[in-house]
Amino acid sequence: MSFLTPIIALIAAGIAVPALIALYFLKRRRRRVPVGSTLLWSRALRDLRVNAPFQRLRRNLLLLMQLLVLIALLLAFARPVARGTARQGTRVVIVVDHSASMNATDTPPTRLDRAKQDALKLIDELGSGRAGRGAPSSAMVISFAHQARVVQPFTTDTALLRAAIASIPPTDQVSRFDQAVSLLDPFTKHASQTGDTAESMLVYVLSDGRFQNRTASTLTGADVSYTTVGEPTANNAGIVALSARHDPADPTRIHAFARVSNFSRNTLKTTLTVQRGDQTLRVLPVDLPAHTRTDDPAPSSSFQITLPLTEQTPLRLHLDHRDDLACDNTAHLMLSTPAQPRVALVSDGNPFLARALRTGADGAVVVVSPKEYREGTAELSDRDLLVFDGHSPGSTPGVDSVYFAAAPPIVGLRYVAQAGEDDAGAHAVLSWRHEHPLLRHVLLDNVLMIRPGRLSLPTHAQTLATTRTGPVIASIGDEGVQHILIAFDVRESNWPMQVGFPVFMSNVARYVGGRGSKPGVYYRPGQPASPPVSPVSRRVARYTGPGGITLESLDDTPGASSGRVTLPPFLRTGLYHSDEDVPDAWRLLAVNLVDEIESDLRPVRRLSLHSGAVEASVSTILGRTEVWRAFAFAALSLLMLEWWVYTRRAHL
Amino acid sequence: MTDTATQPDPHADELLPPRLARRLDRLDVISRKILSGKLQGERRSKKRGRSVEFADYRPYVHGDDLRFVDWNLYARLDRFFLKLFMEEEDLSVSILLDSTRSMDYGTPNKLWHAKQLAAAVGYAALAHSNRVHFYSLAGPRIEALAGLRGRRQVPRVLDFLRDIEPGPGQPLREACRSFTGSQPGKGVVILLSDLLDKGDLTVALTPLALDRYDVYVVHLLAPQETDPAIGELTGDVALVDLEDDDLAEITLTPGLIKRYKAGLESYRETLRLACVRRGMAYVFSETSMPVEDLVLRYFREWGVLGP
Repeated sequence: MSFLTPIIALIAAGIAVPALIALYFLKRRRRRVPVGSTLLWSRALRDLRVNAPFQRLRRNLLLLMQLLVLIALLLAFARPVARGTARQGTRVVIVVDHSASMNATDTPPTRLDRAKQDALKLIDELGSGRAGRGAPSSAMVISFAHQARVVQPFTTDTALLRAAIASIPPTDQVSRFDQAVSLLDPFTKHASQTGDTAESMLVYVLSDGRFQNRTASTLTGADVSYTTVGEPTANNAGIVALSARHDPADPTRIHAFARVSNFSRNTLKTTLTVQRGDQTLRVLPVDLPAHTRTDDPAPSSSFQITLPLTEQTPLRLHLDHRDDLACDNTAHLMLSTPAQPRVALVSDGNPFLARALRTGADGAVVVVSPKEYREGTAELSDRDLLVFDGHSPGSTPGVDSVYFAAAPPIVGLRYVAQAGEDDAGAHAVLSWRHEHPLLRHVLLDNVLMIRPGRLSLPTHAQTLATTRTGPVIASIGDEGVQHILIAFDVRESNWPMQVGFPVFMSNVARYVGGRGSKPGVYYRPGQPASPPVSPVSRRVARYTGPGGITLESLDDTPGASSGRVTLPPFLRTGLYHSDEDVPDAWRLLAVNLVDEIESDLRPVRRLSLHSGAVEASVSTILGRTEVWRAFAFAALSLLMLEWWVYTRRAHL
Repeated sequence: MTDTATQPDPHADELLPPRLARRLDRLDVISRKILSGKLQGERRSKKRGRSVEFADYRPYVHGDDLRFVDWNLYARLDRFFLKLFMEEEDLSVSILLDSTRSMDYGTPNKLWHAKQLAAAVGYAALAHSNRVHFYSLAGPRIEALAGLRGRRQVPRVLDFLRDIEPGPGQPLREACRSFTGSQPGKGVVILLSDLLDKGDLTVALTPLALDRYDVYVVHLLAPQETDPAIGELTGDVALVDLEDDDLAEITLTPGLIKRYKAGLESYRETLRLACVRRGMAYVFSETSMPVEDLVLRYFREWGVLGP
């Protein structure tokens, strides 16, 4: 027999039992009764002392009975569970954690393999007939890491369940138990609401407990058993933080930052090797003490590496150290220079825009007509910035774009051009946001425009300038792409004649078009990436990762018509490359763990639930039944017996 | 000869109800050993004296009174024989009342019960012209009301008994010794006591074990002392001895009650044997028994009183 809440029961016992004994003996202040003589009583007592030990027991029998009642109540309070066959019709859910920490080798071969073995044992018990009489119990398999997934719905077919367990892949993702709880919630709530014992659910969680969010989860209507895998003495150190930024003084230089932590009980003396391609740039010593006090943060060292930026090459950091978890010993960082954008102008002819765009563009500005753009005859897949002059595209481009007297088809955004003689007077800009990067060093107070259009903006848009008719310059972010809207034709304004116009276009090129090149980019396992594809023709992206993993976006991926596709979430860390026609910035994708919680391999012994914490058990038992009712009944029976004894004239 | 009856005291009902007194007129204290008294009373003495009851013959010797010569016997035998007659003597009755604090216990109260018994027995003795002495065995010295004779002494007796207060007392042995020292004469001794003396009672009674005394030991206990289960004792109590403030902490259990009762029986048996060996009569009674029943029935059965 084991107990679900033994600690609480022990605390209650520590308070209640001494209190009962103290009260009992305090109560035993004897009543003084005068008698003619104690002569005969003394003789009787003397005779009784012959059987002193037994008599002492009888004298304290009331106390013993009260202690037994208290012990029975405390045992019931500890929620004892007995090994036994599952009730008829019991449903079992096996929840397996396959996050990064479950790849630790402290429990050979890996923690995930051990968890799978335990899960298979559970399935064996299901199939052996020991579980239930008559109707067999059904089971479901759920795996969870960054997200939770039903690997096998409820079935009594043990072969299917075994196959489901075997199919759970190892990942380098973080562990989110709340996702598994969300998946279980509808089933457990139903069990809770029906109150039918036949519908009761047993949930077995096989994990090391290294969850991202360890606040109490709500899992009512189910008996939860938690089996932890992994050793508290696991040995691991890893890269837990990684970032980069451009040198503000010299855009050709980049600063990369990394932090290494030691979660092991051993000291760490090793090196951190920094490579770019085949070239070793740095070998930095790492010397960290052991993590002996588990309540304190793990010992860490931070490193800064300053590098010249010459090409878009991944930076590789590697901890030259063998430990129980390998995936956090290596990290990649995609570095890129802040390149000038390659610009395309979709216009019937606008010399002002063409000239102004050349200022900040990389190379020649490609000018295409709206007809060519609509028909897709122009090759624009290499462009970083599209400028639409009076032409609203039928689909939102997958790159940053600027619209003059036009707007992309974004939900909530509407542009209505002013026609004819409606409001033919000149409109001045009443206010603008001086501090915005697009309007830095841009003066709009002398800008006049004729017949500006009316912009209706969604709530997430930013208004950058207004006239009396409403917003006239705005910025909208949509699926990672920035769109700048100017609600008037520059040819119907005096703006091109002002200094601020080329400054504005230069700001656009730098702020909007240059956003494609981030100083240091990496993804985490579980995160999706959305590489751009040709807005019209190409809708599929394929990447190959470590170990030959292949990721391919789906045709029906939302947003495919917008020029971007979404890859499935990354499972493993490493470098993923694509031979498809994607921008250079997207040719290589770096995926790193970089997570302190997963790198800290100490198993968590307690699963926090709103219904009470569940202590980890060393073995999984199928068909456990809570037997607190038996103890409560025993306590009640003892209490009634104690009443009967007490009410007798002579106390025992 | 009986004394003339005096007017009854109106307060005598408490100790001696008139109805009981009337019935006691027919009873007298009986001595198992016929003992000589100092005065002529209603007692058949073993001494041969001058009474109307023929006892025996003896040969005439020179100087005998010729009035007691049996002339019928001379006519037949032609020899002179003298008639001998029984001499009537009064009885000395000493009533020893244990009035120590242990007697002031129980429902009905032992001391009051003993006073009632003393009043009844004393009345019977006084009504038949016996010499009656009352002794209260409490305090450093025993208090006595001695040398009473005749019914007219009944009010004094009742006052004396009524005024007796429970006191610390001395050990029973010392009390008995004091009595024998103050009462050297022969007579009946009636000891009314609970005999809950922590000394050796067999030794305590020894001073009374004299040929000149015909001793009746009346052992009185309250119902609560014979059966603790009917008393107010329950659970865990600390018993306080009324005599010496001794403390006995007990938890009342059936086992303890059983052992108490067994101890009481053993104690009574020990006392009975001690009395028997000393030629004393042992009488046991609970205070729950009405005095009238005890006196008119059981005392007669036990030979304390008789017609």
